[in-house]
Amino acid sequence: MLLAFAAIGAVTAQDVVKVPEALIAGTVHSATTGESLKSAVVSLRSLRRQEGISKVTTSGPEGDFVFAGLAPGEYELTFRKTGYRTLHGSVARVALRENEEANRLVLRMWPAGAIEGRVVDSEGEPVPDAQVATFRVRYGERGIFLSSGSRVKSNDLGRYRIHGLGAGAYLVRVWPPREGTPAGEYYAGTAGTFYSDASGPLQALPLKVSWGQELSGVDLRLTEGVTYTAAGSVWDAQSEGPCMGCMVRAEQMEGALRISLPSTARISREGRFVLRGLSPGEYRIVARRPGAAAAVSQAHISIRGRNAEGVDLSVGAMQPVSGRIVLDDTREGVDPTAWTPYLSSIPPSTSWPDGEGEIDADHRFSIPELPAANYRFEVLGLPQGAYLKSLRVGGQPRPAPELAVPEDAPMTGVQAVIAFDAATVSGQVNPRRSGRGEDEPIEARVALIPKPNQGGYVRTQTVQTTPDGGFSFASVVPGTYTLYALPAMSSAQLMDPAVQASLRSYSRQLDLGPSERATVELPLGPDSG
Amino acid sequence: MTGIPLRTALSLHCARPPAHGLPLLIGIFLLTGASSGQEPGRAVGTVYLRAGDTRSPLARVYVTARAAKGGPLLASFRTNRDGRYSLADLPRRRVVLSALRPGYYVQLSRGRNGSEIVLDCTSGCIETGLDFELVRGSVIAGRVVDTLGEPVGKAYVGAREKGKTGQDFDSRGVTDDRGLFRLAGLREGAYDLIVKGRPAGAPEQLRAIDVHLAQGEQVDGLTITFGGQPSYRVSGTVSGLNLKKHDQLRVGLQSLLDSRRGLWSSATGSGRFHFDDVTEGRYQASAVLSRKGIKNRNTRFLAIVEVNGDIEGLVLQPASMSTVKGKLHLTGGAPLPPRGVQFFSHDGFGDRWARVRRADAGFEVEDLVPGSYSVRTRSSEVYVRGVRRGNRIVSPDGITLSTGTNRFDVVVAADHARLHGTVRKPQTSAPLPHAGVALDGRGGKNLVQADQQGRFLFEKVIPGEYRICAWADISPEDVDDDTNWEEAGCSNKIVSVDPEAEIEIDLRAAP
Repeated sequence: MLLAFAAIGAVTAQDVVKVPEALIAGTVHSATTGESLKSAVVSLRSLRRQEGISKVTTSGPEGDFVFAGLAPGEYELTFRKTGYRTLHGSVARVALRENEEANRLVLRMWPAGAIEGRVVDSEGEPVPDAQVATFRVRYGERGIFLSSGSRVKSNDLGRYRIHGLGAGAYLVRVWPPREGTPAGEYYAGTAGTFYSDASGPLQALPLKVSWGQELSGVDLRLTEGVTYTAAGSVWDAQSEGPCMGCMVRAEQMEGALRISLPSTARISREGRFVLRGLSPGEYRIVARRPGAAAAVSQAHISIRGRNAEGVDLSVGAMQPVSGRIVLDDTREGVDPTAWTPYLSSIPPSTSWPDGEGEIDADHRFSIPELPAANYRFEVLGLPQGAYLKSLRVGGQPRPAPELAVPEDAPMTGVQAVIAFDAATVSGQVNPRRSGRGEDEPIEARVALIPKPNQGGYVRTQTVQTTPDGGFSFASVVPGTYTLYALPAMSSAQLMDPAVQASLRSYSRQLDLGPSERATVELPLGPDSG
Repeated sequence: MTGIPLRTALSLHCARPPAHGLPLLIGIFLLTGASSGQEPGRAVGTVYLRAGDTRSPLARVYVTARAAKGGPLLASFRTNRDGRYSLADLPRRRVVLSALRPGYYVQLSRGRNGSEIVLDCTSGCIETGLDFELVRGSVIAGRVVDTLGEPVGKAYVGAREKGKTGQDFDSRGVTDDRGLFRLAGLREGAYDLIVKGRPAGAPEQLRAIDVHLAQGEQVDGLTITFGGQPSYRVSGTVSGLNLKKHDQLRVGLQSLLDSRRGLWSSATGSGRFHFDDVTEGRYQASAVLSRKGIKNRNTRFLAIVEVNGDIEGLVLQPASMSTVKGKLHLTGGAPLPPRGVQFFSHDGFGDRWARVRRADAGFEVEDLVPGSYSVRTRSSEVYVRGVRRGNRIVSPDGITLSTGTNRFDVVVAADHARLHGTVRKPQTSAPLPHAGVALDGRGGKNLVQADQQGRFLFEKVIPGEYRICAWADISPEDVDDDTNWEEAGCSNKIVSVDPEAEIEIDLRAAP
């Protein structure tokens, strides 16, 4: 015991290890009802990479959580709970000083929506194992489009439920049960429909789902009708044989809307495939060779009253793209070899490969081989103030930064002009007052939307505000824009002209010249668009 | 309908009645049993719902005709309000009929045990009275919640008949955002209800609940609470690994009950690790060494750890592992090599798959725990005939892998045999229709049903020795019970099947 005391007495001030005493504590609530949320999983991560600290706790019966014994630094919290959208990002970041107690955090989680109903056939009988999918209606720079959402199967009673939906407008589509299931064989060839009883997306009834809303009674019907097949072959241009590992699927195209069908077809030993259950319409047939040497090919077909035969595809036939980076003016310290020329497919598709290349010291660039298709051209890694000003192919300017990679020859002679006189836009979103007269925390996204007819180089940009409402766009192509700020969880589709018109009183117009710096104060738009 | 021949159009109607106005037409069609004599074959019958001592017609049952069990579909029909079905245009060949309706199961087909009816339509057939009796399956429905009563979403729930292992579930599902699940169509009996999920803030948990279902029982409102299970702390040290070349050492515990369930702990530089929430069970401990920026990881098997309380000071060392290198040899008319070969551990270490290289048909698989294995292929076209070690070809079942590199070649073949014959009555030589015939050997027990002439057929039989037995009436469950083989006097009834053999065998059914 004496020795132990002696040892303690020998400890110097330098040896004393400081126990971190800062803490983060707060409560988590439903954003729609305000009720406390218990059993939310709260995880904490240090934003200092070298520390790699992460802790997890669970909110208590009053929605309370606490992380104690923290060192000073910046932390990010993530909240997860069944039935709610995961909350993380800038609103859940905390910077702690030494021994600071950030113990009054109040976080709001958004309850997800759900759609449920029954699948019945033309006789009103329930259909088990039917495939039900949601498609969210969105607006982009090219107009309206549909993004694929969850897919579920109806149960033995024909009931389905799709959950985890964010606020927004949805189309719901049903397909017959897959072949191989008991009901699938009976319903083979039956046409699927959109809610309610529509044959195509343009006739479908969009369902508006608010946060936490459950839409029940959304009954779907499989209709009798004639369906067709698309048959053909898939050739692998690299192995010069049938593409045995390839998968083929169909996307229904209606106007600008694209719907991915759930069924895929395998390739026989002879390289043949058959896609079944296609109702009349326009389709894009996509063959994909998976794996490290992924390759794709596509064909557009029209099905009108007869089966489509001879849909022959060849994957692995690729062409490189090469050209030159041209600097609009001379800049010191600019190193184009650090930039990355990048091609992404049009329309964006996860199943279609993107291409990225390299730039050499003479500013020549090359992008390795890509399958024939339309691509958007970008240059990644540009310094602040720089932007893609124009694109020329064979000396001819392109109205938009888009390239059509041909099937049969490499694409050469692409010139990408980089300018350095981008404008900047920064500002502040004004908070709204709560009922108690206090400023509510800001959780907003700010969108900079170009006015029409300025060419394809002037693009929409969106940023999240910092918790105090600040925002900044560092490299804005000179042009005329409208600026909007909406709550981050708003379901409003800002690219929809009707929504823009309804938000006119919340918007700010900007006419940005080269190198101009604009500072803007913006009111926060309403929760729903 | 333009351009479709009238006869085809009629058979389309027969196979799937259109929405309106046809029930009467079908009724007349069924009552008359009309046959023009031009159609190759037709099967007509009624599907009943059995409930206790009564039975009633059952609508919306999908009756399908196939060339063989699991073979290509020839025709399908959904029963009408009177439970009636009619399958037209059956080809001139053997046909297997089955009846399916989600939530139900077949108890009797043509008055006998078994779920299928086998027809011989090689000379054309017009068969009536092909009735099925279905029973409403039992249902287990409920909710998975945590200790605060909040729903646990995306929890996996599976019902597995007692005594079965692995991923062979009779019904399975996933909880929704309200924690709700529903498993339907279960037979009466005892089940393990396996629930796997991640309640709030807790590591993934696995629960096995005993459930006994009476016939048609609807167990609704079952509440399964997660998070209340005792969990234990397991800590110790990993030694014997070269940690200098690696930035990170992680220790994993993978449940032997469910190989997809794993717990991971980042070990300190000196190899110390700890797990705070390990539930009771047997685990495979392994170490993963990795370096920043390098995708490849070095995984080493350590030991099997049994957890039923806190464990401290556990010292784990990498076990010496087995590597298998070899080539695939095609014999016996194998058309194409399979894409890979599988190694199934007899000691509970799961299975490993080795890709077969296209260039030289070679394969290599590392880090197998030494022990006994079977070698298989997933392809239905070929089978693993044996394993070549030196000049000998040995059985692919029960090969022993020792530590270090094991070199052997795998021989695959496609010279399956066919085994067919007639089942006759016990006392006379008259054929016994619709008897059950089982073959027991490689691949387990396989039951088929004889047709109305007592003829049976096993296709794609892997050469080898088999027990064979016939019963007048037997269910698939009873075939698994060896006492039924003994009582039928079949324990020693061995048939030797050679490659590409066409074996005809007559059997006397057990009384």
